[in-house]
Amino acid sequence: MRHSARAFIGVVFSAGLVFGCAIIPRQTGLPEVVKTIEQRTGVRIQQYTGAPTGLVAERIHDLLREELTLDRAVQIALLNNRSLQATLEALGIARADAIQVSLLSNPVFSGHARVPEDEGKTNLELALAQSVVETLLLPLRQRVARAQFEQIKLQVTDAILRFLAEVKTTYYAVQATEQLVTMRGTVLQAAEAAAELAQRQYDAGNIRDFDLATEQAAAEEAQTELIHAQTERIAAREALTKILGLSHSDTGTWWVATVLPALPVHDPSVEELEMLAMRERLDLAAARQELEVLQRGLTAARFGMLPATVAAINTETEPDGDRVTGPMWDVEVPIFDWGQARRGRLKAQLRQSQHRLAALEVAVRSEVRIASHRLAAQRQLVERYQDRLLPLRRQIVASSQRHFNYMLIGAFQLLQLKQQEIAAQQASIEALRDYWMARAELERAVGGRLPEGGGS
Amino acid sequence: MSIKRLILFGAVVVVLSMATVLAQRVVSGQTSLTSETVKDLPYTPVVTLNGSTLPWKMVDGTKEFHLTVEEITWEMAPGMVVKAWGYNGQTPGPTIEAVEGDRVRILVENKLPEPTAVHWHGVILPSGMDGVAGLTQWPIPPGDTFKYEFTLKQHGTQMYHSHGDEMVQIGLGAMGFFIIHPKRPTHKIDRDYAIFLNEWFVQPGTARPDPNVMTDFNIFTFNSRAFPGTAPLLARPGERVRVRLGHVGQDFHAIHMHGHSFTIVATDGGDIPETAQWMETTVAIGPGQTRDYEFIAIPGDWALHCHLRHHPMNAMGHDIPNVLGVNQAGVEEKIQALVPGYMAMGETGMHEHAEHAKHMAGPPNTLPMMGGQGPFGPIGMGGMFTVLKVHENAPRFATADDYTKQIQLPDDGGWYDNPPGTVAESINPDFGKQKIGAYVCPMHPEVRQSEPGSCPKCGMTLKPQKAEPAEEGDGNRQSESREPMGSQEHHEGMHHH
Ligand SMILES: [Cu+2]
Repeated sequence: MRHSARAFIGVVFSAGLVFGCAIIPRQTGLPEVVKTIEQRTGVRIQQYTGAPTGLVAERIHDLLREELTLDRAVQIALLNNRSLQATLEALGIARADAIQVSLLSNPVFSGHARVPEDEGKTNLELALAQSVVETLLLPLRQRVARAQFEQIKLQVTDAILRFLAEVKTTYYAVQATEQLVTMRGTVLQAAEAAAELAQRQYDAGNIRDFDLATEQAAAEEAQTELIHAQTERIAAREALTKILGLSHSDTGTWWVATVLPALPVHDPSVEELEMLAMRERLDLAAARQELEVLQRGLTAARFGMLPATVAAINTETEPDGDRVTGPMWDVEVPIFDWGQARRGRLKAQLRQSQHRLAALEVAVRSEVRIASHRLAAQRQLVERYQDRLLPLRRQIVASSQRHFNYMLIGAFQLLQLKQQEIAAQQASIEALRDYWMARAELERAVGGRLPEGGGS
Repeated sequence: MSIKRLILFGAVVVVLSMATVLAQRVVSGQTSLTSETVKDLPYTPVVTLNGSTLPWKMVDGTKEFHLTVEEITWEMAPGMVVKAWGYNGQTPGPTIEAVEGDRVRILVENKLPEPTAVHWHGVILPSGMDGVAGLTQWPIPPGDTFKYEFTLKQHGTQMYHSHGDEMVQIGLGAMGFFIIHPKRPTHKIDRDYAIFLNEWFVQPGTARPDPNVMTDFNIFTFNSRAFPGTAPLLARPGERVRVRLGHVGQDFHAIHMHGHSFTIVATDGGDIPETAQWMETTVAIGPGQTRDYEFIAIPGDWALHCHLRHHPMNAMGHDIPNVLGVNQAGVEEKIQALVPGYMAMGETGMHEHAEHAKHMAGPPNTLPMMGGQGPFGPIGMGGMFTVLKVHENAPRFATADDYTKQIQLPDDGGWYDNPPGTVAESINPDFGKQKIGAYVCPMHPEVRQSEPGSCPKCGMTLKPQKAEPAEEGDGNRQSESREPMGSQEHHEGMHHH
């Protein structure tokens, strides 16, 4: 019997080892995520443990040394944002989960020792048991685990893309607030010049006190507007500092181009974008992967109908000194639970997942359409401001200047019209900012990158 | 004048009046009287400054005139053209001249978009010829021609004007002189000028006078022209000159002529008996009135203008915050940072504006509030302003229309050559001879050069700056460095001719 026992143990364990080793993902999954992100956004992410030190810290330092372009901001964020690093760790967790699932459960060793009341040898019984069905089902479980790991990778990649969209949006907000602060400063300058002129006119005995107060009040209002704009600017910079993972000591050291990029030549069509999103969205891919996982799970569950069987090798030393060795089986008798509930659950989950995928597709299409329409609307606004309203406002100032030259209007009116021109400029900048934010949102909505030719 | 001669004269006029009809849109006057025919007139023809005299033809012993009322383009001064309503291409319409006792027939053709009627203001005539739409006649519909015919029973300076929707039609210029010369003049007049007074509102930057404005006018005109677009009155010393003023507008005017005390010889009621005439230097004239005054010309260049302060001035804003006495140094630069073309003005008054206006752009179709260059610098006037030039060599024009064709601007005919010692001058012996430190642009202080010239940035004449060190005293006030109006402009002015 010894022979057979050895053989049994050998078969069970070597099978466990073979399957177990085969399932462990060779890679952490990071390179694939890195590759996808690089393909879609042109930037490389880097994972590290602990605080960014050494090369990473140096790289961040270098990136901060020059004007912080959008690309640089994105690179820093990918290197330095600790929430993102936390997200990346999901890969490690998923990998560990996959490995866990791939391992055979350890064999159970059991022993009984019975001592006779009268003389005689102690009765000793030893057994080593291993679940048979589990071992047989291992490859199935491993496939499920692999699918799950793929799903997690997609989810992580998708989260990174969402994060990138957020970085861009935050960046554009900073650019806009920088410009808006300058504008409000110019308005204040105009209002202060008017107030100073009014003061001199009042001192010369030329205007009423409330005329003076009116100009002074306007200057005060311009001042409060500037304070608001500066607060917005600080908040926007702080948001970017946070998302770039920088500390308070870094906030004063970086600067961005204070002019938002001009409108690109054209935007892609909504039909093109919907198709693109269907192909590229990683949350959709993850949902499809989930379906795969469940399908595999269901297949596995069918085999799971096999009654739970434990094979063991048992050796016993009889009180008379004889030693007996032999195999042993525990077989579950599937009378009450023959796995129907588990399978039912899995089937329901599968259907649920199918519905969720379909719903997600509808939602994604809708999301893309909204983002695309928003982008088109913002483009229209920007174009109207830049091509119509601003030229009109400039024309009004130029024309009123001519009226001023002939003493047909006064300086206050001229300055007021100038302020209206600046207000139109401000609205124009806000529209351009919203355009770029909408574009970042649209990029995210289609899975990271707009079609060629619609370039950003 | 013999009958034969009158007929001959009439024939000449027929030809010319056809030419007039063919060229009705031409603003300047049509020659209806020639040096040949004018000699035979029993009167000195009236010169309607910037205007003309209406030609006529004799038909069955009646002087027949033809007036067409229509929309016209009218230049108020170089740089400003408006869409006015006038007669035969003009506002005021061409002056009708006739003689007491004449029978006249006036054909009025309406080319306006609305009905009209012509009232012969102050003329004694049958009620049905009085030209009041609705009251004395059917309105003349657009496209129709009405005939007015009556015998002139009086003499005097009368007028004609629209009496149908006159708020709009007179407001846009539909009026003119109707001058009836006496059958037996009591004395000879060497020169006879007619000036119609009117006021308008033309929003700066627009071209159509706004007839809805009732009081706040911004353009004040002599014969629908504003200075510097008004023609001068010319005379030789010792000549007897008559000036006829007429007015059917909204305001009151006080026409003042320098250098003379003149005699009011006639009102719209006719000649004033010599014993009842009075002398003054400013004649008040209200809407609907005419006044004739006469004087013996005294050598010189004499201003003739309305004495209401803002009437010899073109459009300016009335509700602009007053900057007189306000030093804008420092503020000006701040505003320039925002509005690069901004220039502080008015600190020391508006004199400088006459100079600025030449270089700084104003709204389209708008006159600077003052302008015109005299022999001693900018004249700084607009609106109801012109010059009586009494010069030894003042040209004598054979006809009124010759005058209009040849004389347009106030400096035509040159400037008076003052005898030595008769011009007000500085008691400072160095006046005009200061050592000049540099020539500086008043608008771009960075433009400085040692030679006179103009600014390459704005074209303004560079102002001489005294050589005195600027650091001394409070030299930061802009006006301190400014040259009193003087010698430089003087030379400029002299070279003008
Ligand atoms: Cu006046």
